[in-house]
Amino acid sequence: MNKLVRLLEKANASGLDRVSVKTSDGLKLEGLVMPRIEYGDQDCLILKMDSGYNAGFAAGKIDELKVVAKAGAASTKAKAPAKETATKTAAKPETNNLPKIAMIATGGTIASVVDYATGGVRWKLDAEQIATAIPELSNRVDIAAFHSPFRISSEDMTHVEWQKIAEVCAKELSGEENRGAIITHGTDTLHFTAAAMSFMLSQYKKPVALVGAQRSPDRGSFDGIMNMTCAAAYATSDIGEKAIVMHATTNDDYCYAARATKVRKMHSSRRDAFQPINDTPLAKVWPDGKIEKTNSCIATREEVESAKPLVGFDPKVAIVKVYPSSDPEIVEFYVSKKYKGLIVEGTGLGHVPMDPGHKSSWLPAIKRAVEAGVYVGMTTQCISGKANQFVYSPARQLSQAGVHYLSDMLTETAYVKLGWALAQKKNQKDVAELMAANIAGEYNERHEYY
Amino acid sequence: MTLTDHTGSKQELKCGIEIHQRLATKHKLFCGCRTVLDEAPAKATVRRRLTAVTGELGVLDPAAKFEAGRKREFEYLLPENSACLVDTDEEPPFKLNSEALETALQVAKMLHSTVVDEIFVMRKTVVDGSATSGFQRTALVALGGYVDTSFGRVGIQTVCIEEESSGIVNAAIKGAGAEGNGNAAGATYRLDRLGIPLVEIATDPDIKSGAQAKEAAFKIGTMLRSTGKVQRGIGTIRQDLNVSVSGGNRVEVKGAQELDVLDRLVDNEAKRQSAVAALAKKAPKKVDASDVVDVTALFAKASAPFIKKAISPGGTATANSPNAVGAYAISLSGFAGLLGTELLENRRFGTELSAYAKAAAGVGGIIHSDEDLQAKYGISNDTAAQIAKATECKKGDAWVAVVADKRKAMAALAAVHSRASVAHEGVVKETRRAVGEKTEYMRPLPGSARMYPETDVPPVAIASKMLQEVEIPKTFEEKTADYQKKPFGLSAEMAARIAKDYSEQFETYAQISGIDANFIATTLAETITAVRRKGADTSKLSQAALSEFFECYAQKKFTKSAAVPIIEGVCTGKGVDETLASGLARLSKKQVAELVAKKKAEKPGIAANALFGEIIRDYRLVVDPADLSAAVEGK
Repeated sequence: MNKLVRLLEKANASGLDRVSVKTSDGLKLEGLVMPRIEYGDQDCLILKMDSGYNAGFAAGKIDELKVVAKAGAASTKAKAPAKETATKTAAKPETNNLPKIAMIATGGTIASVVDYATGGVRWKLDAEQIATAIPELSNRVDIAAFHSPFRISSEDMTHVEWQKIAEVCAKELSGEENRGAIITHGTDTLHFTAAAMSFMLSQYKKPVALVGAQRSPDRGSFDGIMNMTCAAAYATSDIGEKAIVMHATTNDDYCYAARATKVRKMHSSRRDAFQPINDTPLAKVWPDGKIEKTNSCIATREEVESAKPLVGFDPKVAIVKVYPSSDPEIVEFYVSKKYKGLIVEGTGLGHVPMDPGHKSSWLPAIKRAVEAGVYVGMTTQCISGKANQFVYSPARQLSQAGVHYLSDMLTETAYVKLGWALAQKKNQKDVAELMAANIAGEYNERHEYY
Repeated sequence: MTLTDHTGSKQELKCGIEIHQRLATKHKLFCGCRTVLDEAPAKATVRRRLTAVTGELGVLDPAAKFEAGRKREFEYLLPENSACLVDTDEEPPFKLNSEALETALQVAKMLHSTVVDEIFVMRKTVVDGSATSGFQRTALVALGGYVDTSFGRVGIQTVCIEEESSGIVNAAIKGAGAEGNGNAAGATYRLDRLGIPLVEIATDPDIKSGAQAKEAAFKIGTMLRSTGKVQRGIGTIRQDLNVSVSGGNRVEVKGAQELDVLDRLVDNEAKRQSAVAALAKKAPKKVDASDVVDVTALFAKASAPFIKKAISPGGTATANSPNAVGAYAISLSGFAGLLGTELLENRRFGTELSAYAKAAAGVGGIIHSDEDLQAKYGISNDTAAQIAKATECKKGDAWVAVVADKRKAMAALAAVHSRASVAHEGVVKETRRAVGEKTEYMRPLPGSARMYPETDVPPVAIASKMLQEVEIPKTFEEKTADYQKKPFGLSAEMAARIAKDYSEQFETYAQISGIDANFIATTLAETITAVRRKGADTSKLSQAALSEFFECYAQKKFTKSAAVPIIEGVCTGKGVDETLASGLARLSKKQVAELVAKKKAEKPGIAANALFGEIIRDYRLVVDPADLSAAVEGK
């Protein structure tokens, strides 16, 4: 047990109690005991002064510590943190003719508040709490259903969570009750989930906005306010597609609604991280509800009576990235582990090392994989542009060996689609056909110059 | 200072100062941008909106709520090299700048403060737009300590290190608020200043007079300068004040930049508070206001050009023209005579209400029934009576009017009524801004609720070894004493001037072997200033140029008299060598002897005095008087 724990136990003091402290430096202090974060000196008492500042004082230098008032007591000068439930009073206008939508919250920065265990932020808010923090929403939409199936970071998402979200969303999109839906999510893998929703909910031609935030709601510059207001506008629009709706630029002026299969996180921290790739945005969406369609190929919203969401997903798929001196044995590994599909992210137009005399040639390994019945798809690691098997002869050889060139489909989208396709179809030919079909705008043949 | 109120009872002034000093570190506090203010035009513009958020303890700060209630859009200009993704709130901050932290520790030691064992960076909510993130990063470094003044000891509360805000360029931006929710226009800021490290020193409210406030600020200021790590010039140091008079609330006064008027600023604020407290005794406990009345038709009769110009043609707002500017008024029960009560010279209680109206709604000000309406606005007694009637003023009531669009007018008059309603409580807690020697209402006083931990920056543990290694620079007094002793030998007056403003440069150049310290002091404190006043570009006087200049002097390459033209030459971009070559090099003893011999040959029998005088007259810049004396005397 460390010094700090002993000190607090001796004084019977715990988190958020108001205490008086005397130190051997001669300081006499009063403040609230803040929970000790895991980072930093574990023997330092973190005290919140009446000025609002937090500061650390070494337990070894504290001569005296007395509880002045227990947490929550009336005499505690500063109020204890508002309980999470305290914010659960979603203000709804009494007569409500606003369009109805459903909201599903899954965690991420948009749901984050400070976490005393680590000193960082953590996803704690549920759907209703997120919506309540954005009063602008209540003027635009009637959120008829709130769902918070789980609260996790986006890097912890798996296909199991995608399936859960798709099931909840499908239920809400069936019938005439809701115009569309909003899914809030962490941003790191938002584009994977977006692609998953595109395929799993492909029969549901209603607007589904996937939204995140790059700045947490505990700051004045929270970008989620505009993202959510624009998402609400999108979810009530006549567009029948899934899209990521987030800042188009660094300014708080409008969002892009980017097709959910053609979008990617392109910056680790900027607000405008989500940019359409190999596609123009579906629309520009303003927080006042204005929508300007900017893509010539947009599905129109349709009512869905009842359909079964296609939530099947075979997790025996992997992405393999090629780079100088990369070892083709990784392909053999996946084959030995009974993987059914591989997306190879090749260089340039979709190449792998394959000099015949060279030990690091990938061709033999890829041939063996195809022979073993593994679907091998090729995308480009350039992110923008297409994979093309006809320009250089090695690519032709790969193609002849059975590698499927996936044109301008993004690697992440291809990965999600392959896992989904393997669960929809039993035989190899059908899987290949489904992969080649344009299900949710994942292929865009015509790239405009811009 | 002891004030006497109208009943003759004594009121004590209590004042604490917060000094904010910009540091001259290489980089900003949390990013790699340089810390110089950039004259360069912006290379990009960013537009943002900010919202009020709750603090760590779940409480919304009143000041934050006030600003966010205004829902403004902000524009940020990004100068090259001094604004990056951190400044635009697009990238997490770097670690706390250690150079800035060391300076803060140095300052803490000089103030006898106790440094905390672990520093936590906090976010202080600011939604006036001056920070792109909606908060200012700040950290408590040390607690306690003192500074002595001739009026007594002043305790130190805290030493903090924090980010500078961005500099305001324009209080309103064009076109803002036109779309979306139709909000009021925002402001334009430049991001070069945002994030420059500041050391903030807050004293206890031990200060009892304006004069003591000025002395304490001066002492702390010179202490900060002695670290050699602070920026100099206008705006690099500013004082905020906390002033109260006995029994009254604390008032924060922001942005006092001129040390010269600090004493009068403090004394005036105390007088104002005393007068507000006196007025409280006459103010009604309950103040009723009428509904807002449209008095546009009555104000249209006013002859003052600014009213005529402001009121929209057609006057009153209609459904079709909601933004039409008209005149709107309310009555305030029991306020006749109070609005005209003078608090300070040219500052009446009406002026206070006017500042509230301006801050709440951005209106130009208020017009009220205690003013000389005919003289100021060309409103006749008859019209004034009609306004009183329209607002249902009874005897003893006052009316207040605003010329603005209806939405602004409603907000402004609501602010006026709410301030008038608490007039009976005396001094209210508020933040005011320093305007010369007086203060003006700015916004409600922020509370501790606006603090939130900066989750993106890890805490910094201060090891005792690190603290021991921090050196305390000599104080102003110590340096002044040192400079009068050997090897410097400056006069007491010059020593103080150098210690105050030039000690770092002085000590650097004084290391040049054979240099005359008095020559350095005169050059730094007088010659350069004189040359600048004549219009020369003294920014060309780099440390390297001055080093060369002093080295040449030490090597007797020029005379004292040539200092001015040489410096003027360097200011035009020439090297010291180049200026010497243009006829300013000091003549050797041999050359001086030759001049003397030549003059003697021209004027046989010339008296020694005349010989000296004539040569000095013609060769003042290049002949050293001592060399000449020696030559004249034939030595």
